[in-house]
Amino acid sequence: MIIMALPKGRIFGACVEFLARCGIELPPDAASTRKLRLASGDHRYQFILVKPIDVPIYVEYGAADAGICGTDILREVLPDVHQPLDLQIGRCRMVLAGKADDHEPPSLRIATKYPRITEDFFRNQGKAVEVIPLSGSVELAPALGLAERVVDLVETGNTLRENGLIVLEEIMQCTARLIINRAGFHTKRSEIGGLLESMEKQLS
Amino acid sequence: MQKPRTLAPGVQYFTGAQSKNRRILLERLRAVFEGWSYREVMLPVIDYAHSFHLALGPELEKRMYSFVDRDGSLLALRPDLTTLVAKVVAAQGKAEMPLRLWYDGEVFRYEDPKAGQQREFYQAGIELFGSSSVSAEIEVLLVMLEALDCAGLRNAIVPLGHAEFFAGIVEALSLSDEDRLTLKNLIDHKDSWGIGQMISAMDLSPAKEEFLQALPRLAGGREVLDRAERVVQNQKSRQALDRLATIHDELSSLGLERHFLIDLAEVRNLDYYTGLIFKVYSESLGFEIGGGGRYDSLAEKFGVSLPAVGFSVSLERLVAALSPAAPEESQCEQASNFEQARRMRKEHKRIRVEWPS
Repeated sequence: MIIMALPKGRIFGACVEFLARCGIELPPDAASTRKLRLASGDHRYQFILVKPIDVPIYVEYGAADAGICGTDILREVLPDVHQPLDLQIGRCRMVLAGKADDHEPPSLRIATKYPRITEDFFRNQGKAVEVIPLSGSVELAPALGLAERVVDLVETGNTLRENGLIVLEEIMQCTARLIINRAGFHTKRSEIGGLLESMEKQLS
Repeated sequence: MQKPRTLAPGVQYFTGAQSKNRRILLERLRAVFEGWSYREVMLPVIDYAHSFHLALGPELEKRMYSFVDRDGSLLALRPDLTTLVAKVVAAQGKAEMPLRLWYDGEVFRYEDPKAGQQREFYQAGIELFGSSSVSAEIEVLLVMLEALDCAGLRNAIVPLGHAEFFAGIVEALSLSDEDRLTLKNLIDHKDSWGIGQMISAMDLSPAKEEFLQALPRLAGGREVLDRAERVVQNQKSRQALDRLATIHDELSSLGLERHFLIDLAEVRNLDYYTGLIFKVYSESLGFEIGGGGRYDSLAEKFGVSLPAVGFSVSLERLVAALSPAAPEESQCEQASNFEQARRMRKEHKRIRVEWPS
């Protein structure tokens, strides 16, 4: 049996739909249930539903054999896991955004859920900024004067617009990846091989 | 300012059943090493940072606990034991070859805690110096397997790879240093998709494209070698495949096939390893317990050219992979005074003195 960690929230629906296309069925009430562990109909998979940022942790430690995880989180957490496939779902952009009348102030504060990505982005440009790590609702920060700009994910751009923010620069494109535990890749190789095969068939 | 009981980050202590268990495991490993005629080498905890820089390259330098000596030279807590063994062997000059050595001890690396990794950890391992023979590699694998087995790890899974396999491919493609690093990183993550993205920007024949994309999947049983043999043209990679086939076949003929896999996408520490590379996994742990390989250019950095092959395991990870040790019932006899105690100790009895409170 393969234990697979799935991210609750934004891309969960897309994950379930993609898995179904690969012939891996979650229970029909997967999206609404309060259970955190679910089994596939054929009991070849057990799914654990966790916060997106925790998916790579479960997989790196081998508490889960596999997981589905956004590249935004992989880039932020830098887990030591295999990343064999891009699942072409959960597509969005990581951007730097600011107020519509943004002009670069002398000292820049950036609010974000992605402190590592943000810091690397500015350091690579040789710019010193103050990164303010938040765990949600970062779009509020400029309006309240907590920060001048934000680094966050955008799908449609609606949340930014509603908070009077515009995209200043794109940092990276994000999609969801399949990740695999390094030990499990070898110790459960026939099961993992089967999983990769069924997903590859769907992606090609 | 820390509170008096604050523990330094990344260190651990062990008491009771835990420390006893570690001693027992180390004793079992030692007995196997000695049983194959490996001799112990006891190593310094501190050495010049330069030694480690020479052996391990600049990458590890950032992760060393280094400090300045009174004369201004830079010292470090050992971040690696093999480096020190190589240095000792080089300094001792002409010894009878092959030279079989074992060691154990604490290693220190300044890094963020990650899966199964503290900043101070304990390693045990062997080094076999002075032989380029494939037999040296097989011997090291056999010693390792027996040592792990005696320690209680019966289901070790050991994927075998070869440094020259990737080197041959890079040469054949005449990749730039930057592309080489990118490709290595992608292979390390078994990222076929990423390789697809990378090579779509390069001007390669469809056959080469297909081969590169399949590279991360060259992992599995013995049949992987045949699959690779059919698609790899360059001499260097083909020799690596032959070598791995010899090792795998010999191990299989000894009835050990279930422990050994092939992983041609094993590309870590390529600046260090020059031939065979292997890792040790178990179903009970999500990360490697140990690993090793051939590093023929290490001793040369200390002035003596000597081929070498070895392995090490992490004691903490070995403990984590085994089921928890049962606390041992310890029998002891009571002595009611020190005279009696000394008499009983002469008879090698395990005693506890009950002195009047």
